[in-house]
Order: sequence, then C-alpha cells, then structure tokens
Amino acid sequence: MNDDLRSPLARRLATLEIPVPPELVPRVMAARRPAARVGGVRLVPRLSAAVALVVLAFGAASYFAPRFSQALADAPLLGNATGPLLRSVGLAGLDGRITTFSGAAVSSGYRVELIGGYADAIRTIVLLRVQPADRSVLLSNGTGVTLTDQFGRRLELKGGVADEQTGQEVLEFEPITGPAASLGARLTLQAATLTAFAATRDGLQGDWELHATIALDESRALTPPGLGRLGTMTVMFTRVTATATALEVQLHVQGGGPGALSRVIPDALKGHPAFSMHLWAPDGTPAQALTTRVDDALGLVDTVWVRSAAGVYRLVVSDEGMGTIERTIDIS
Amino acid sequence: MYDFGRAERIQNVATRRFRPDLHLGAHPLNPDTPEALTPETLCERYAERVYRFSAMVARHEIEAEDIAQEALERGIRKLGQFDPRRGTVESWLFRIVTNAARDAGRVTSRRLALWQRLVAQGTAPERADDDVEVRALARLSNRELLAAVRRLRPRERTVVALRFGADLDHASIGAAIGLSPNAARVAVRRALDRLRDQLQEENQ
Repeated sequence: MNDDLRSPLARRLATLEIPVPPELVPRVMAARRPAARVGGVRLVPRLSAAVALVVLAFGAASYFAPRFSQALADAPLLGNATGPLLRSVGLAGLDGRITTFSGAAVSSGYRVELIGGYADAIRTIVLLRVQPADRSVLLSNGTGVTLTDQFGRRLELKGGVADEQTGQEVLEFEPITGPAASLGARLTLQAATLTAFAATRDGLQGDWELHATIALDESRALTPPGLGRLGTMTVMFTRVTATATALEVQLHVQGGGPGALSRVIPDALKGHPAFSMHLWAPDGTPAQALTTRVDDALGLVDTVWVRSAAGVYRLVVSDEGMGTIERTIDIS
Repeated sequence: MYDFGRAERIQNVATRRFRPDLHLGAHPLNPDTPEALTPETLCERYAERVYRFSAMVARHEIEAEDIAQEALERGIRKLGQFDPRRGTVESWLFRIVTNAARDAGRVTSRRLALWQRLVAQGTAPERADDDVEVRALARLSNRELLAAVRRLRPRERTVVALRFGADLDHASIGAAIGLSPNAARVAVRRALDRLRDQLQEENQ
C-alpha cells in the first residue's frame, strides 16, 4: 500500500506541514446538532462570524437563542445516572448525546439536582437526583412538576422512572417545539411536591426550581409505509420519525368501530390486547418499546422504540383473528 | 418497557426497585462501533486529516477552513447513519468530506470515467532520478508545494489530497470517490507524475 510513498515528492507531500487552525474544531462544535440546516459551504465565513458576534453581544437575544453557548459547554460523560434508568428510556451507552447539567435547588431539607438531559423531535428527557435518598421522589402523579421553555411553553409530562434507593429519576416530557427547537431551549423545571414512598410519611411540600439549556439532537422524518388492511380496518401510517436514539411510528386506524384498538382476547388470565405493534431491529432482535399511546376514540396509535442501529427495521401490526400487516422501515 | 398514556401511571412505574449498576463511563467502547463515534471523538481523531485534505484541494486557507468545517459538520450530522458493516469510519467520513469539497467546486464529479481510462492506459512511466527530485524539492517551500498541488486539475488534486493529506490507503481512496483500490493506486501515481511534471515545467 505504501509503494507510492517511495518517491521524494510523495514523502514530501505526506509530511507537508499544514497546521490546523486552532479555531476550526471549536467552530464545528459550536455549530453542532443543526438538524434542520442544509449543507453548503459558506461563502462568507468572516461575515457570518462578525454577524454572530453582534448577535451574541445582545444578552437578551442570547438568552432566547442559547444553542451555541450551550453546545460548547456540553460535557461528554454522565457519570451520575445509573444504567437501568437510562436503559428505561433507551439512552444507555449514549452518554455522548446526553447533556450534563449541574443545577440544584434546596427546599424543605431536600436537595433536588438536575443531572442531565436529552431532547430530540420525539421527546425531552431530564435526569434528576433527590437527596437525601429516603424513598422520596419528585413524581407526585405528574401534578407537581412543570417544565417550560424560555418562551413560556409548557411541556407535558409523559412519564418517568425512579430509583427510590438512590433518589435518581428520569422524567420524560413531550418534545420541544417552536422557536426553542431551532434556537436551543432554556428550560425551567419547577416542582412543588416530593412524594414519599414510605408508608409512614405523606407528600412533602416545597419549592424547587431548576434551569438548564439544551439543544435538540438530530432527527429525520421518513416516508411512512403504505396503508394496509386488518379485517374491516384500514391502517394508515401517518408519521415515521427517526432520531439518533429512537424511532416513532404513528398510525391512524379507520373502520374498526368503537373499542377496536382496545379489544382484549381472553386467555384465562387477564387477557391480552388484540391489537399490537412490534418492531424488529436490523439484526433480527425485537426493538425495545419505550412508550405506546392509544386513542381509541380517534383511532390513533403512537409508539416509540429504541433505535439500536442503522439498517432496515421490520414493523408488524396485528389484530388477532383479523390479520397482520408487515412493513419495512429503512433507517440507513 | 414502560407504557403510559397518562401521567398518573408514573406512580406504578416508580415503585420498581433497581439494583445498583455500573456508571456509563465504566463501559469500554469499541472505537469501531457507531456508539463510540461522538462529535467529540470524530473531531479529535479526524479534524487534522480532514483539514490537510481541505488545504490541498482549496484555493486558499479561508476556503480550506470552510470546506473542513462543512465536512466535519456533515460528518457529525450523519453520525447516526454510519454502519460499520459497510466499511470503515475513514471510508465513510471521507466520502462525506469529498462530497463537501465537490459542493464547494473543488472536486470534479466526472471522475469515474477518467479513472477507468487511466487504468486502461497502464502504469506510469519511470520516474525521474530521485536525486534530482530531492534537490528540486529542497528549493521548494511548503507554501510553494501546497500551491502547486492546488494548481492541479480537480481530479488530480483530489486523489493527492486523499492520499497525502488525509493519509488514506488506496482502498479508502477508492471507496471515497468510487474506484477500485487498484484504480485508486494508478490514479494517485498519475497525479504524482502530473505534479512532478508541473513542478519541472515551472522550474525551467
């Protein structure tokens, strides 16, 4: 392979001193995660830099557009969140995609720390820790926690997981949208209640307010598969979104009548749902489902799975006794 | 894993107990897996080689910076698409880098037919005497040599930049620009001959 390095000219070229501009990598990292930006070499980089400097000079503007300063402050590792919590939201092993935070608030003798976060077009996830870890967690049926962006938009809490022994929690909210999605979101988490899992103590009132800045990870809208039929039902795939960590499939069912999506097949135990969706990863293993939301009245089903690798995924939609639809989703 | 359309179901999930587990940082990562490729590692490993390539194909330093930045940004955006079963990180990344340079007008798109013709023509003639070449090169500054590379035709400076700037082997060069390894080897040799001829002409 190195036979073309024998000539003096080749050796000189191979060792030609070309110093890398020190500002190159910081510029790249500052501009990272621009999911919606289309490529193209900038023709006037110096002018762009000057404009960026002017923009940054305005404090108020930078408050509402925190993406660049935040991206530079990202830390690569998240050493405080344990594996099971991250696995439950499909983020285990993806520490490079999690933004680490260091905010903390103390109230009523409890310290709530905002450890890290992750956001993409499908979901927003925050990682918390409550100290002391005495089986008190910041969940409280979802009523005591709010998350808002810098424009005052409130993100709906979708769910969460807690390790009551360590005080660590993962809360999942709806995705950041609107201007905060493109500018980077300056989030405020407010909590008013700690729920006690110990039976001897009631919920504890307090006031915990935490702030963090996060940018959306990359995402891609894929072409939905073609429609299919399950008995009398027509299944239309309305949205397929792939992010770096997850795959979301949304479908609309027509013609099944009331209760079609919640029909239960008796099996001498508790029964099992007749309608189901399963996804297989490119290596043939079942993909881990993260969330499934079913609106029987509207005929809507929205499921999010862990995206494990690039490749062709196999999606199977079944209605027991009625039929099966199989489609492929190419994420390469 | 967990399934809740309503936030009220959180309480049930939260009652699960987890045993302590390893921290994320304790898991060693295979550098060839997509999971190990982060924006930081991509820049750390490849920024210098991407810039060396860009410096050789660009007209000047500012354009070189722009091409390198655009190429790295594209690489970061496409990190999730890297599939180790389809080739090495180098091949994947430098396809992106070459495309970025092409979009900047610094890499020709009509490369394949030419390379195939070059392959058909066989190997290049014998090189000039190495001692003479060494003496001639000694009179050239780095800047003058870089300028000479930049004056090559797009297809020639591309393979020179991939071979000597990005330090790719012939297989990776071929993968980046759509050639077989052997065709890439011949293309590099022909480009070197062209550069050598150009330098000799300018010295006369």
